Amino acid sequence: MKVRFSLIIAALLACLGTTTASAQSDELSLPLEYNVYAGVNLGGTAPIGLPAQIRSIDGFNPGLNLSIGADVTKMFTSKWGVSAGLRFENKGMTTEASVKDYRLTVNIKEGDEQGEKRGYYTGKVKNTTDNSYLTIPVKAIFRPSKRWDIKGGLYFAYAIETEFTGKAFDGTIRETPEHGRVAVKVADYDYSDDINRFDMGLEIGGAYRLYKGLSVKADLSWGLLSTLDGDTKKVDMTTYNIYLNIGLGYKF
Amino acid sequence: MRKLTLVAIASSMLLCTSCIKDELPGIDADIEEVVFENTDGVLNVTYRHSEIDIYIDESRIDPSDMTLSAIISDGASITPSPAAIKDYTTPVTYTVTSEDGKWSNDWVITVISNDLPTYYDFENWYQPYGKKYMMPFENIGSEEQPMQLNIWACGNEAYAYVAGKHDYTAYPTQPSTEEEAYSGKHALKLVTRSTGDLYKPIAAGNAFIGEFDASDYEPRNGTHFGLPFRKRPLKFAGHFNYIPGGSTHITGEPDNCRLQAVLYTTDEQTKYLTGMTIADSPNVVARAEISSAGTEGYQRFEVDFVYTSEIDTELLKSGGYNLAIVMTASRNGDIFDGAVGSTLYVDNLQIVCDENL
Repeated sequence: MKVRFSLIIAALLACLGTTTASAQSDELSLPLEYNVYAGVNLGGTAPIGLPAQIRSIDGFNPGLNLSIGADVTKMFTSKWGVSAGLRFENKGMTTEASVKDYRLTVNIKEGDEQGEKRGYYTGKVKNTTDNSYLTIPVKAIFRPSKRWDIKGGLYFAYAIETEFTGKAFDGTIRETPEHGRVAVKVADYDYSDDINRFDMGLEIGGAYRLYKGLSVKADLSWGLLSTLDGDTKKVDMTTYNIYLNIGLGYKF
Repeated sequence: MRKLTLVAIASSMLLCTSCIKDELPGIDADIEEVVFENTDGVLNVTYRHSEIDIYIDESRIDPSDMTLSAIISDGASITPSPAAIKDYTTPVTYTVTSEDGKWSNDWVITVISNDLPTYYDFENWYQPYGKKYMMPFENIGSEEQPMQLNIWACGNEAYAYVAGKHDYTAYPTQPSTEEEAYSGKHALKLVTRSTGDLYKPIAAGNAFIGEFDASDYEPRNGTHFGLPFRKRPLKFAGHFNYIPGGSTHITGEPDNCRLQAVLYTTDEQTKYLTGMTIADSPNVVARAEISSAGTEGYQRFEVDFVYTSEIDTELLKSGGYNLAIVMTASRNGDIFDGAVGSTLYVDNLQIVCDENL
């Protein structure tokens, strides 16, 4: 984690450095603005509309998802401009749910009968998602006053680390209703390798300048690509990254 | 203010993704339980998926005039209506269709008034519907009119998830080849398998008289040992061949096989013995047991039933006693200790009974 963070910061600084260098030859009247920020991601990697097989959500823990980033803003007029940047962030959460007749693939990873067993599962599940992304947000900026920035645009993200693991417990599984039920006291599954590395989506938000360069910001990012690889069909669910990022920024 | 609005929009968007939908129509198409108008004379009921066997005492209940009802899955339907059927002298097939209409299972109810056989050569095997594994059965009919009696149970159902697409030879309980048999075409072959499960690392090769409920969290409660037996057993005999797989998974001791036969009384509390109770249930009246750390090929055994209390002859004749034969390739398989590969062959088992009773 430590190594990863320092690498990211180095990359961000390098990125800033090159844009600074090119900015010096810029002849437009309004100067480039440099902004760094840090915050937390709150939200879920969740289906839009829960599948009917989920009968209750028994627990939700957003976890601590940090984000750190920098961006460069170019204002064309006093009110309108664009920004682009680079951000390192985690998106994750833990949820506990009760499911009924939910199609699930349990991954047996050890022993001489390794492999995936698929069936209809009724019982409890606990999922943990924790993905680390390198994200490039590209946004248009509307600045109605000196204190407010309203932003909207797209983000493109690449997951450098993915985790989607879970436990099925206190339930029963069977291949189809033509088969008998088999008890699942506890079984593990791991779909970490089935997470789509690439994600993109919409990002809208705003920043409010508190004092000098310091501002508070909130951005909603709404993923448009399913985080689960649709081809593998290991879980009957299409999930999207929907997170609200709240943080502090500083403008140089 | 704007920020507040933004947060409100964002959180309401998140909320609307987490609404619980109405429950879907059920997909179960099962008979969960059969219920009798009069339970007098009903000795035992065993459930396997899509097969229900009812053991009765014919002096108290007439299989040609029986009334039973079925508790089926929520919302499911059953044809014909059990209320319309009285004659159970031959097996009766009911079709249960799930609430969503997409699944249906044929459930066969068989009423058995015959005595259990006392000689078991493991020549007859069948593949249960939709399964990849094989199960032994006893033929209590004649050559011309066979009647299949499914008295044997094992943990194969729970192993189906591990075995996946493999055929019956991947399972803990299976028929042997002709070469491996003591006589005839098959012997019973029990192999202790690895499960790949951290919590239950092995599945001991096992077979027993009774039923196995794979949906029980505690497998030792899921093994229901014993079926009604109306004779007085004296000796437990047969041939076995045991090749231990090495030292056991947990304790590292050499693996042992065990064959035991137990006679016990049944009552309201104790319809059957389980993996939890077979060792010390007060209902047990007689035991015969043999264990081994390995044999040089087939070995004949004959052990006496040791009685700890007198038999009530009247109760015995009316079906008040159950006999359980329990065999395992790993003696401590019930607590998931055993050596992967331990193999026990059993052939021509016999319960020698008192001819004068």
